[in-house]
Amino acid sequence: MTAGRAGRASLAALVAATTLAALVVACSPTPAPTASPAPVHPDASTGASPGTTAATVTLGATFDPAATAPSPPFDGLYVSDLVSVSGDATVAVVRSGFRCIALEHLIGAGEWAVVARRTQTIGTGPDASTITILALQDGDATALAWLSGGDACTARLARTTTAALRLSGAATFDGQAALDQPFCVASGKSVAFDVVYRTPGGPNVNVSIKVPVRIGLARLDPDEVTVQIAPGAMSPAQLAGTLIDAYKSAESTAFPQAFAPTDASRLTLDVRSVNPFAGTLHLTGLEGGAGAISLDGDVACHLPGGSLDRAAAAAAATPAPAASGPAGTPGPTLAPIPGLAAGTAVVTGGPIAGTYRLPASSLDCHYDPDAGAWTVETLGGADPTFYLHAFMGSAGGSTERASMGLVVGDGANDHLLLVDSSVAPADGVVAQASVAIAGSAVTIVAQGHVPNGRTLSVNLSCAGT
Amino acid sequence: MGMQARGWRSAAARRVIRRLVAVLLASTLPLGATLVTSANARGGSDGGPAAAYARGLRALGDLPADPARAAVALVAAITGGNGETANAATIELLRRSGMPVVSADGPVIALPNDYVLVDAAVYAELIPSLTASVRVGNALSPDQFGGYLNDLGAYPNELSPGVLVGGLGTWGKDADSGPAERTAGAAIRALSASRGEVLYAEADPGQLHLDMLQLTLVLGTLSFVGRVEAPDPRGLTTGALTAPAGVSGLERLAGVGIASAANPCDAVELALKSPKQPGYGLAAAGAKDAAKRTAAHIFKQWRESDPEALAQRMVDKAEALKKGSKADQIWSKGGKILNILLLYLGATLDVDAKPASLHVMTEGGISQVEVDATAKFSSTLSQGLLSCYALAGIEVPPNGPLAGYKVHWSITQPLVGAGTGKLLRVASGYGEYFMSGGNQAQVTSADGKAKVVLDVVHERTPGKGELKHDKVVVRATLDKDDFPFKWSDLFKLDNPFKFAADKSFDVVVAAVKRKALPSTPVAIDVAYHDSEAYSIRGTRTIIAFFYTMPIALDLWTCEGIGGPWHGTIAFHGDRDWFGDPANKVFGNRFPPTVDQSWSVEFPMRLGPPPTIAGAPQEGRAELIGDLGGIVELDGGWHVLTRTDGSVVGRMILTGSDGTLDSLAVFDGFDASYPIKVGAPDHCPPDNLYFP
Repeated sequence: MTAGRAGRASLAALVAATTLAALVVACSPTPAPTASPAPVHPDASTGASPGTTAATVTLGATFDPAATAPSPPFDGLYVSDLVSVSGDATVAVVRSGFRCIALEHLIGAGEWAVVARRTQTIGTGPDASTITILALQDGDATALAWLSGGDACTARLARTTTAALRLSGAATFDGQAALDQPFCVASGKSVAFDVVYRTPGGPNVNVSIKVPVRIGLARLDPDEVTVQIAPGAMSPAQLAGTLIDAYKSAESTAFPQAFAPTDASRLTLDVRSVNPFAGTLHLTGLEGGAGAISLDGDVACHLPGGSLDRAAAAAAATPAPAASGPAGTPGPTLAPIPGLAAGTAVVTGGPIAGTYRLPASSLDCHYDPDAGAWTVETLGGADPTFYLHAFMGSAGGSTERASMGLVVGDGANDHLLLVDSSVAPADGVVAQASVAIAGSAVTIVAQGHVPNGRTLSVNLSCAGT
Repeated sequence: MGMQARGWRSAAARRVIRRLVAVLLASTLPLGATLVTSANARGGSDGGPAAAYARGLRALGDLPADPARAAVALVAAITGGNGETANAATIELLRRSGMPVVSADGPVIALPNDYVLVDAAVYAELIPSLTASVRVGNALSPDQFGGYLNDLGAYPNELSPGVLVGGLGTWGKDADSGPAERTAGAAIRALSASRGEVLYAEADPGQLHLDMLQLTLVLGTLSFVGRVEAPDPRGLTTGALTAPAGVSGLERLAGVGIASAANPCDAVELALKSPKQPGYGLAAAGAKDAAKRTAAHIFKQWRESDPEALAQRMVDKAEALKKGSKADQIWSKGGKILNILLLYLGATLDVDAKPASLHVMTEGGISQVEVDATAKFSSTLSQGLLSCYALAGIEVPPNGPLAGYKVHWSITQPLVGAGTGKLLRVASGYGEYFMSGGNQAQVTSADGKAKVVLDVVHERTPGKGELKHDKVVVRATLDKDDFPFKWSDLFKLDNPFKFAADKSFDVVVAAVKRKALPSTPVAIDVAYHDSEAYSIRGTRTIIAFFYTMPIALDLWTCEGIGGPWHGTIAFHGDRDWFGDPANKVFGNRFPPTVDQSWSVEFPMRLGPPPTIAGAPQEGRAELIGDLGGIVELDGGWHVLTRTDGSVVGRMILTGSDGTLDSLAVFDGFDASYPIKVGAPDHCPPDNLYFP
């Protein structure tokens, strides 16, 4: 669900840490006072000479009685030229320079009727952001709208379409389902999106996926596939409530039956189109409390603007990760840490599974004597398919570990976040670790795992700076 | 300005013949039918309003089954079709909204399908004027529009412009809205949309223009003596028009028991309004409740997204209106009100600009623009005494110029500085005509003409800056003191005493005098070279590793989208749930909050310009450090409508690894900031001046 994205976004933030750290570093040497910068004021004496009858004119923008504004492609939506609209017949994004309640009223002033309205405030104080989800209806058509952005509110409208869906196992359905697109964001080379299938009388299925934007058969990362099912009929208004509830709590029970991939799962998406993103999903062997399910269904993610095209270009420029073994096969047996070769990282399971050579020359180590903490990162470009970021605090002595975190990914997307449970909730924990510090050099040998069995083991040495 | 229907008015002899024909036509007219099949019987190449309606309907083709979608299609025909098709679409729209359309001579042109708003019959002869007024852009302000409804008693005086348009923007979309309400509401919105306007509560009333067709749809729906609905087996629909065998055609139309009506229009009037009409009493008894329900319905759907409960208050007020209150006027005299208003559409102002478009130049260019207005009365109703329906007894005045009438002028254009017009300035000697006071009006000449002159702005350096186009709208408005048409001059009543005693006329005349001012705009296209200002302002919250970090941008350029851009970028960071544990690792390295801002100046590197066909323009900007932006400027119609304040694209923040979209998704969106046209605090026009 979308709220679950919040946590995932935080994890993604780790990957972007270098960006933001670089930003802070780049910006820090020349901070300016927070006072407003000197604006550009063209010399008034060279400007226009005000008309003498200014007080008599009717104020306001021009109205051209002969002009007829073309309708936006999203049928039933009326807009003025104060807002920007992009999109197609299925999804439209309306960007405004006014408050969300005004934009909401504008959306409801076309032929779409607001049949349900749900709001939720996220965060507190100056960081607080209010999200509104509307269920819309125009005759037999339905749509959902998300609004957020405070005084410069943006709305995303997504029309309910239909899609083929076949469910088997613990939940069954075979036919045309209503398909909603609650969430879609492209970044880097990937697109992350949710789709909700609603069937007459249920079940209803929420699927979350993150996948590179590339035509062809994509093998999905089990970490990036979430499937949840809710029984019973679900109206668009109920779905709106469900989605807003997910913002309130990541433990939302609106889709109470969760199904997770296992090592035996086969997870593919046959991508037919990159913009709009569309394909057919094939998921087999997902396990949940109610049993196993398999799902075949069409998915779509309409994202107005150039984001999907840019992601597709980035994906085309990045070779597909070469997994050490096909997905769906059990990972190798855990190698005991003592046997882990120096300068090696071993990942089991997931799309970056494999053994990676990480000599000291490929690592950037930094020791902060004030904090008593080490950070270890792979150098940029060392391996485009593998990225590691480790941080470790020492509690005294040369080897006593206070806390530790390990993150690995493929350079654009994180795939494992292993942190001491005392530090923060994460995908998994660092189960065991040893640290040796000799002079300016550090050696870290650590292993962690996530609940579904994927592991990360590292044996790294490098000289600190 | 009104479109002239041809060949079916004025000659008394033909009128007699038409009445005879009308009897035949009326006797065969089923409810919901039109005169499509019988029109040809009237002969002639154009055959009168019924035949024109029939031809127009054929040109319209099959309409969507959904009432709202059909209404949208009809509005498209009204605003964009040829004259005959547009008029037919107007009639069809009224018919589908529950309003009968009748001929002044008696025959019914179109009857609604499901139910009839009994006292809302509109003369077909007024339709061309109504259609033309929509197409030419004659407009009422929301204040005038709401004023009508207030003055006529449909609502209490708290029907402000915002409340009015908030209701109209949502009317007819309730689950229990009938097809007539769905039709009327959808048509009202589509008419505004055809002008690029949206009816929502926060819309600037000064930018909204409502037309007389929209007013007709609202007033008609609110004003019924009897709302006779098809589902009632004793109602008009089944009782009068689906009569058993053996009843004559006229009796079928007129209703059992009133077949002895004196003439065809009486017959229809009696059919629609007679207490003898089977089922009428039952329908009439509930009519005012129905009117109140409809008045309330206009605001019901809006309640769903109205946290301030304005809509609910209006619903409550409408439902609380009592018999004997002012609301009785609109409930009981709707037909008169409607048709008088429409008759006034015969008073028009033709407004022309010379030239209609120009290119600003310093040397050798056009220094002044002349705008002429011609006031005249030109009704498509037959001149002479009306004998049928709501205006029976009124003698329609002859067509001709309106001499000695007062005209007020106003001008709307992009502004600079403290409200000064940017492109045109009222020339010396004409300023008083643009004042708002009644004494400053210009008086039309014997031929009904008035004229003003406007100075054209000059370019200081010809050709400097972007080539831009803007519209300047000059509007002429007839003065309220001359309404209604110098009553005694134009309306010759056959029984003045009767009308003097008719309170409805007092109400209507008062409302018209306050509100029904013919007002016609003309748009002048002005091309000029000047700086082009844009701004990017807003805050997006990024989850920046250890901090939840709102990033506020306040950026502007006065020199076109390519820049250079200026402004500030500011961060405010609150250490987040990930930053707190990180501090356990790193010690107190990250403070609870961080605040920084930077002054920036940067260009945008842009790709090919956007196209009207829809291709956007893309570009990039390097803001500071690794922070950059991807720019997307809308293509399509926004290319032509970059007015100040419009959002025309977005800038997406980027870092070294691409967009920050994935870090901004906690609220379901991306790291985009809107790009707006204009930077009024920073960029006065640089290249334009008035000599």
